Amino acid sequence: MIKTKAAASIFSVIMIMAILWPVRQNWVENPQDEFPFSYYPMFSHKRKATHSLPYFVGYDISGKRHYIPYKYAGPGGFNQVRRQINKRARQGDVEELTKKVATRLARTNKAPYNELVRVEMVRGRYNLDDFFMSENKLPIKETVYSYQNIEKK
Amino acid sequence: MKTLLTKLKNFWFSPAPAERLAILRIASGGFSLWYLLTRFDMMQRIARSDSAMFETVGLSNLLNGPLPPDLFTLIFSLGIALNITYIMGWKFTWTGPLFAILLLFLLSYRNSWSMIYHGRIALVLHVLVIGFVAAADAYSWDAWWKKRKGMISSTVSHWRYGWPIKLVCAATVFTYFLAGLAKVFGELAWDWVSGSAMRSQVAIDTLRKMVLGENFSPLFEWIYPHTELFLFMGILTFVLELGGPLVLGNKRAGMIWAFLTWTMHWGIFFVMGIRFRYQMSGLIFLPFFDTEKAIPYLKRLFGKKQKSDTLDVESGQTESVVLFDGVCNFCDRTVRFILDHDHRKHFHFASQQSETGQKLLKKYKAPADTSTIVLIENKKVYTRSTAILQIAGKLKAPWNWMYLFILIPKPIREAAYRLFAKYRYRWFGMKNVCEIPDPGIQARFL
Repeated sequence: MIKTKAAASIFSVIMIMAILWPVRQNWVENPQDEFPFSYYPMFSHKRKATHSLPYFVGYDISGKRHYIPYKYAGPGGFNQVRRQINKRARQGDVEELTKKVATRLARTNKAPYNELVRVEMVRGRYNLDDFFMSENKLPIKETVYSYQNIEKK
Repeated sequence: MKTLLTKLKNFWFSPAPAERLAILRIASGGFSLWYLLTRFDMMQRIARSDSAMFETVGLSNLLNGPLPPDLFTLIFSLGIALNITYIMGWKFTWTGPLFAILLLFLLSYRNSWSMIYHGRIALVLHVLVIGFVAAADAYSWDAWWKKRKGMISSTVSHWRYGWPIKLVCAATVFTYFLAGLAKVFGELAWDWVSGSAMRSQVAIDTLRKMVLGENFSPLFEWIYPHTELFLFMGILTFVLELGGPLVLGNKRAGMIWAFLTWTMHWGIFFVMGIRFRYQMSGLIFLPFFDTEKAIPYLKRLFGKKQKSDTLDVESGQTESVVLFDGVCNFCDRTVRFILDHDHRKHFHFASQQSETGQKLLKKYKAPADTSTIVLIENKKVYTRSTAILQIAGKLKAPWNWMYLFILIPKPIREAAYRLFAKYRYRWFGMKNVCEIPDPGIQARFL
């Protein structure tokens, strides 16, 4: 317990310095974010008119396409699982994860995911203006990384 | 230089009541307990997931790899137990620092699975400060025990309660400041303010949510074409983030900053669907306010109800009289609303245009302007938004909860009131004469 003004002053200075110290990450070549002393890099990167990202798509017997929620790809919050999918895609480590998603989809009772017969891990490129200002919600390009048939047990 | 240091020292070590710091302990502890309990199952699943995804941050850097899941469950459970002692203020000299370090470890571990959740940083920093200071000298088991043993009689304002509150405020504004600097020194630099860059950021976040099945804001598609809205939001974000440290020395500026930043987080929720719960709940901003002032009201709210006050205008025993604009339709509806919800028949009424109304305004030197609602209570005069909130505080629940808006800085409340009062005739119309009240409620009118 901090009981003297001297200790309080030292504690305050150290705490404020520690909070502000990560600011130097803004000028280093390969910045590293940390916790809890972060430099808050979110929303500071330049974005283009198009954006590509990896995700899962499922198809039912009639060939209808459905986006697969991230919860089938792993435990944790949305951004955490999204980053893990990204990491797998970057490293080319996609087969295992696609198999896991297919297994989870085979077990689910939730419509429409219980009617899917095939799942693909893909990377899609989207034009932001088209996506948000028109009815067309399809990617301008989609590359399949891996696929699995969903076998119900 | 010496004068500056003395000024800084006087500012940093200015006294504050023990209750204010204790409220911060309870608020931060309450939030972290809610967080740990609601994330219990998810954290166990994460602890059992693929160790290849483990990238250490914070205190997790001390580990060589993920902990055995059962050990993690044990530590997590210990964290919940210590969290309860932190809220209760039990043996706080030991449990406070222990909980602060354990929470730092648990959240470091949670953030070591490929994603740092920046929204939780302020909570950890707040607990790291509060856990190491005298935050259990009020509203705690320790304080209750000491009082019972006669070791303390009552707590007084002291520097040891003041500086931790200032440090918590500093930790809060500096986190926003760093976020602003990262934007300025990032790839976008000042383009971020232009609106289009912010729009792209939000668009990508929404796109990710749409294709990965997370909740997203349905508003976004509607506002996407309106770049000017993003321009406004971009400027506001920059001002609040970079201007944060400037408010540290001024209490009123701090309250206004806290209020605006709180509204910014609600804006982020409506536009992006992102819930920063510690921020949106307002708990992160409590150190900027004199929260202990709400306690007597809460005690009154949940304590025994008092009987209606007596009234005698001529003798000056005028307690709880609402003076309203008698020709304004909205004011008339407001009076009826108060009558319907004033279950203890606490209030009496007089129109400002009536003889009694004029007499009371003169007697108490209250503003005679009809756009100002006046409450005279226990010989005190309340006007405008303060009068409204004082009245609301005495109505039946849930209307009396509105009293908590008293925590909003007065200039903001008053500005909203004045704007509404200015257009009340245009929006709701006016009457030519003051109406005579129904016989059933006539006794309540002076």
